[in-house]
Amino acid sequence: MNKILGHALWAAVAIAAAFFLAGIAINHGEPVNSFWLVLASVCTYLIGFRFYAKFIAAKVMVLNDQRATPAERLRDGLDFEPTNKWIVFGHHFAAIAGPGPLVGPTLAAQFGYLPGALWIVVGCVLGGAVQDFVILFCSMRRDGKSLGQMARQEIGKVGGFTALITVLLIMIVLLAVVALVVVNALKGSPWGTFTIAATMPIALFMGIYLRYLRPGKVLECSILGFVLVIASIFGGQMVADSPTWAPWFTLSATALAVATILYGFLASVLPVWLFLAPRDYLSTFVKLGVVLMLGLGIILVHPTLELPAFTRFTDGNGPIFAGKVFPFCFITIACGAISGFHSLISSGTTPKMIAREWTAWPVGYGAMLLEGFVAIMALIAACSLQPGVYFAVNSPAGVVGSTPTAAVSTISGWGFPVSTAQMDSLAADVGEKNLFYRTGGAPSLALGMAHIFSKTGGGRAILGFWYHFAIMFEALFILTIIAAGTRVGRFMLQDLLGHAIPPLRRTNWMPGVLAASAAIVAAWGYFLYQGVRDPLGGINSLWPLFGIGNQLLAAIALCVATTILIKMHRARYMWITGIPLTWLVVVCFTAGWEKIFSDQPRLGFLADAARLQNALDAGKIAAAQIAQTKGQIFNDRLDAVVCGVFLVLVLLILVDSIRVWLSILSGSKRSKVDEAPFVLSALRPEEL
Amino acid sequence: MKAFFRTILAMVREIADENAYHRYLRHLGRTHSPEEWRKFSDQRFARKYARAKCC
Repeated sequence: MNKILGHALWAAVAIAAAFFLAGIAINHGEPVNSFWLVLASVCTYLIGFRFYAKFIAAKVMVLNDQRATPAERLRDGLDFEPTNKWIVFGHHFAAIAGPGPLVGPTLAAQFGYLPGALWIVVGCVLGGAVQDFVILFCSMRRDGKSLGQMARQEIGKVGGFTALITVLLIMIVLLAVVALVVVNALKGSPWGTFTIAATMPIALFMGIYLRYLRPGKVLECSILGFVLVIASIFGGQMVADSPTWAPWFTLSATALAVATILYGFLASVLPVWLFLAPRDYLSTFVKLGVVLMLGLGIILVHPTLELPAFTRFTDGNGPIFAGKVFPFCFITIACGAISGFHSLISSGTTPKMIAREWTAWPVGYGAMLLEGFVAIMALIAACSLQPGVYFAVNSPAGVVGSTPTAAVSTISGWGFPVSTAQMDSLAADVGEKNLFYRTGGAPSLALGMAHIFSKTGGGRAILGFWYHFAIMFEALFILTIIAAGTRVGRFMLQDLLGHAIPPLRRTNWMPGVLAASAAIVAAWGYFLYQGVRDPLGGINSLWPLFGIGNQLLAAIALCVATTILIKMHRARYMWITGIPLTWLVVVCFTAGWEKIFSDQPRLGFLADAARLQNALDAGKIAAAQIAQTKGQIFNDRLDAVVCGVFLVLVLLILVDSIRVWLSILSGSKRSKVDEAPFVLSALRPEEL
Repeated sequence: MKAFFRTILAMVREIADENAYHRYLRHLGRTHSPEEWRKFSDQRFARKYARAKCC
């Protein structure tokens, strides 16, 4: 009886998923309530989790709770420790959730809500969650080895080295692009700048508190830090209202970029306990709290989606970034659908904490579904804005015109009416002077979130607080990623160069620390500066570059996963990782090719360089602009080279993987699985 | 409900490294002291921040 009821319940969920998906897909022309999107995604995720992921777990990976995991076999009380599955789930989700699932869907909303929503739902179930789950499983069966180690072991030395270089390059572009998001959110905003500046001394205070005043009291310290950060939001309002203090914190994009670069350098060389660690605790808790609040807010307010299902910009002429819906929607939304960076987490701490193999199912697959849901919420927040407001905030001056009057005229001409009075009133409500040209996604997401939060109570009167709360939340954890990423990049560089200069391998050798930190900061700082100076807002070039890099990292992870499946004699199931891999290769190579070789200057790097070079040769550039134009030409060519390098590196791994697959499938090479040997688990339930 | 909140608290403590610290003390048979926390956190942070953070 219970079995029949269970089947009936799952059939109802499946029908509901189909009904709600059809609802959002077919219901064109009429306003759609965001609840349809919430229900469509939740029902689809439940079906994917219950049936597809369970099939992979049971039939493909043959998870076995009798088999001792590395957490049990290698238990050391530090890294390797069998841990309760819900605790591992929370830990893993906190580690994979970054700014990507928030910013990507916000930017991709320029195509309308439907392409992004469908990609998040389908991509997550068939691609992203599968990647996270399979890589977690592979790492768990290999004593918690990292993606790079597995690539070297399973594919070959070329694969391992290429994976390392790819990660380093992607990290540099990632740090630049997220820094640009923060810079664009804070430029000309004394309230936001003060709030974020205040988080620096707060983090230092927390570091000293945790080290010397109340050692080990991390939760207590984080609560204290959170109270201080909230106080700094109120302080920011006072600063913004003060004619004396406001000019000190009203910074240009260039000044903010320089400050962010200095911040990255200091965070990389300062002791971790003093700055990075306390900041990381604080930003993780704030991030989880805000995600929870946003979920509750959307359920309570369930706003109407104001953006249409499709906009005219699916044709490739979008103001936020150029390129058609295929392939650019699929690289703009990476985290939330499929993100290569997750494979680094799935082969990092998590496999060392899992007590039972079946726990990898909710942790690897389930946590990614939750991340997908975060992306859906971000999409809802962005799409709940008036389309005219959304485009006015996100479009660069180089596309819509350099004055507010020109911008509203251009945007209204696209069929998304907006007025300067409306924008001024909105800016006044949120305590800003101007909301035009705030490219990067963070301000429009903050506006959407502020609208949702304020509708749960307080109304317009507290819109300013919620807007700056959302900006603080985004900037806080983006800056933590910059601090941690610069440090990791420094370690990778020291490791790479250490082959030639041995002292560099010592991560505490101060000359090496300073030189490697400066090199990494200079690398991403250059791209950041390039983005700040770009008349098209920077996001147009950098976000697609980051998206391509991130998705190509996922392609590397799926190459490793497919190789392992074949070696496990599961070749008949290689479509599970093969389908998302094929899709990513097609999407990334199409996008990469277009970004390099398209003849449209807004899209193709080389076409833009040629356009500027022609203008320069023809003497059409004013004398004062010549140096800047030469810089733009160089940057376009540099971006084309970086994009090309990504593609070549991944092509190398792909070819190497296919060589291994063919040699195994044709029988010319013996299939050898490098799993840790089977050991019977002796773990008792009370030990968890 | 009690179990739910206990799990949430344990999850929060895990993210805050407080659980890991208790495991460390238990594993080495030591008791909490400022010096122990500093030793633990130095080791923990060195490993934690040698890995990439997700985007």
